[in-house]
Amino acid sequence: MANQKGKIDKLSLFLIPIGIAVNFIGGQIAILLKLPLYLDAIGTIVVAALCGYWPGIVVGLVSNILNAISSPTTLFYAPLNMAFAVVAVILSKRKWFKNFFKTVLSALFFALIGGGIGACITWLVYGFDFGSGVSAMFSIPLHQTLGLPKFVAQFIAETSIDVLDKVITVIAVFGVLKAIPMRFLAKLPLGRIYIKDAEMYEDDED
Amino acid sequence: MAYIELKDVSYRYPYTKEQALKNVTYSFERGKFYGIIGENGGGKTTLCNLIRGLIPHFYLGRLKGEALVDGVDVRDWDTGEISAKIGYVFQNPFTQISGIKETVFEEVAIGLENLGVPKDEMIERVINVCEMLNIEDLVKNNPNELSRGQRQRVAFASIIVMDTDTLVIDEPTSQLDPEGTESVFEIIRSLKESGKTIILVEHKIDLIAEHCEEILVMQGGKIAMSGPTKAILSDFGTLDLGTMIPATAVFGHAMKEAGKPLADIPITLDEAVELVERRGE
Amino acid sequence: MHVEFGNSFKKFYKTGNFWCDLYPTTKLILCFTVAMSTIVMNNWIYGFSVCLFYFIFAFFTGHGKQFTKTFLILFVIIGLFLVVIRQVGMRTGNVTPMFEIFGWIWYRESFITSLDVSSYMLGFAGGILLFFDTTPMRDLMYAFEHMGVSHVTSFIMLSSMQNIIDLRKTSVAILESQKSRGIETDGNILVRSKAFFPTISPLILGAFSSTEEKSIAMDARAFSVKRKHTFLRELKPMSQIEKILCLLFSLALISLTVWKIAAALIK
Repeated sequence: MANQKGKIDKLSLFLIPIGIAVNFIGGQIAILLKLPLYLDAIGTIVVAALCGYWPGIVVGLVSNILNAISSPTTLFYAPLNMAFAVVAVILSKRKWFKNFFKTVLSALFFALIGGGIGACITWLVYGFDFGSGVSAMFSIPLHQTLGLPKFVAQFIAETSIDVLDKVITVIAVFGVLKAIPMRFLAKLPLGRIYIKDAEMYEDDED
Repeated sequence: MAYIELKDVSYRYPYTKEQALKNVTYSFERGKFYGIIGENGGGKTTLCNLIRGLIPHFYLGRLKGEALVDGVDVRDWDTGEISAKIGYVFQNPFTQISGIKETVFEEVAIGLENLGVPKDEMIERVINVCEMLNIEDLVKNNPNELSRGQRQRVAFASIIVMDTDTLVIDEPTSQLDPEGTESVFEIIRSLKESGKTIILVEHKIDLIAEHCEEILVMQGGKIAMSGPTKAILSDFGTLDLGTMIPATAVFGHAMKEAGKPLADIPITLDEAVELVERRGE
Repeated sequence: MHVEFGNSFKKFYKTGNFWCDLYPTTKLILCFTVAMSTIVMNNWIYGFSVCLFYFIFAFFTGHGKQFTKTFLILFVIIGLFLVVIRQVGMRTGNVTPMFEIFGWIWYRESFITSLDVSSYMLGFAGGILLFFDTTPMRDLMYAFEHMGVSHVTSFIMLSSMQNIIDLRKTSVAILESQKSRGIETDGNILVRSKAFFPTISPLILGAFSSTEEKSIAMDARAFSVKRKHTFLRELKPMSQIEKILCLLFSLALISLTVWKIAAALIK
């Protein structure tokens, strides 16, 4: 609502640390439930969908920086998380997250971006060849049995691993966005999108 | 001169139909101790939010009428600067711990760091406040690992240390045992004696009766009653507004109905004892 | 006792270890330049020597155990794994067989390449790891604030770290209560995936709802006042020697990079 452009409003500011923590905890719950998934972008997507570009990008970037404390190579993948934020804002503004099927469909976008940028970064960082992640277990067979170029194999491998991960991620995002109370949404830059019958309240004077 | 002046103030939170404050007019004077009571949802916290400058800047919504703090309209107050003028403590002790400091001592000092208070003065003020609130033994502890009651004391200390003219206090004792509650009230009282304006929301009516000078009863977004503590709390009509009156006042009324009236309706235990003793003579 | 503790803030904060008490920016520049140099060099002998140096140095700073624990994990997932992957994945250019495991021939070329890559990955990771092991985040943020970075940035970093600790506790509690309410957390992957949602949603919603009060509480402590801040806990400012050291390391990295690029261009 009443926000200056380019400046993060106060409530968004305080949501950023929560978003970052959620990124971490998502991954931890995945481990606790023994799920072979990352689930580490929920905070980024939720904050981006509610607060806009800058808050979302900051959540993505800082999550990677904090992750780097124990596993420094994740630093290279920071652009990935930041790209998720950008996509989330675009989709949120188009009201995709208000519809369950569009939400599930959005997982494909996230996976493609994740796979695309992820493969590029892996490619660069690991000296223009396969990386050492889980994806290598899929990309190498793809390269060797189907004869796909290495980069293409890496891209396909990273994307397909990402699809299931992102489907679960966006469903969680959908559930959260649906459950946030209206008075809270009212204070967030993109919150209005998720308020039912927002127009109803617009014009009436007291 | 009135310090906080509300003139026909109405306010509606965004995306709500009902006004949370309706045509509120009131003047708070400098240096007095005000108690705000009334039913839940009656507008007590909204009133605090208004005085504290959170309405309309933080809560947005629609504000009508005039609300002046120290002569300046709340709409024109800088949200940062007003915090140097009006301190605010509220119920939940968990959200009032910053989560960015490793010791209670540093936690209490945050406000002073933000205000740019020189270090030596900062240390002295924090030491004094810790003594005042009995948290000397906690100074080295991690504020994120304290109990509820301890957190509430630390949160209180963190605001008192800033030495604002006015303190808006929204149920500060909800997490404390009777003993702790009593000591917090003693602190509030001594703050009042040092010349501060206190605006306190509290359910514990006996403590209100004992310490406050003026009382506002909120109901349905309006100030249903206001006046000196004695007048409000000895009035049986106050009960109709969804709030309690002290047991001693109920006792006074019961005596009256039984045909054995006391000289006055007592609102504190001391008063009751005195009145009963006087009658006995 | 509280007076004593309060007055201890009058002096610069010190740990007593020579390296740890360097200014955070100094440590950052030194660690970062060394870490980057392994990437620029792209040579396994250099990279692994630097890694060895990290180990020795970490023990010297009193953080050896902590460093070894994390670094060994990285060593396995990046180093060893990559060596094997390159043996499987790199096919072109392999001419010199080294040895054979059950009919699987290992080639020298892909072996050296994998060593080079993993040495700079580990060389980079180790430098960053060493920095964070010996520099608390609050110290780094202190240095940043003195460079003019907003205290809001410090709040975001430090608050996130505390939130991670708090939410972790909550998530375990929620998971336990879900189990006791009969939600399956064991079983096949689908069942376990389903258990994810009722765990993460209340966690996020609960955390979100607290931000409103948190922002009010921080505001009440003059969080958004635009004045020059003071600091209760202070670090010793960068000494002249530290500045020179930083300059030397930075220059060394720059010249190394220029030399490497030039060499590549000439070739």
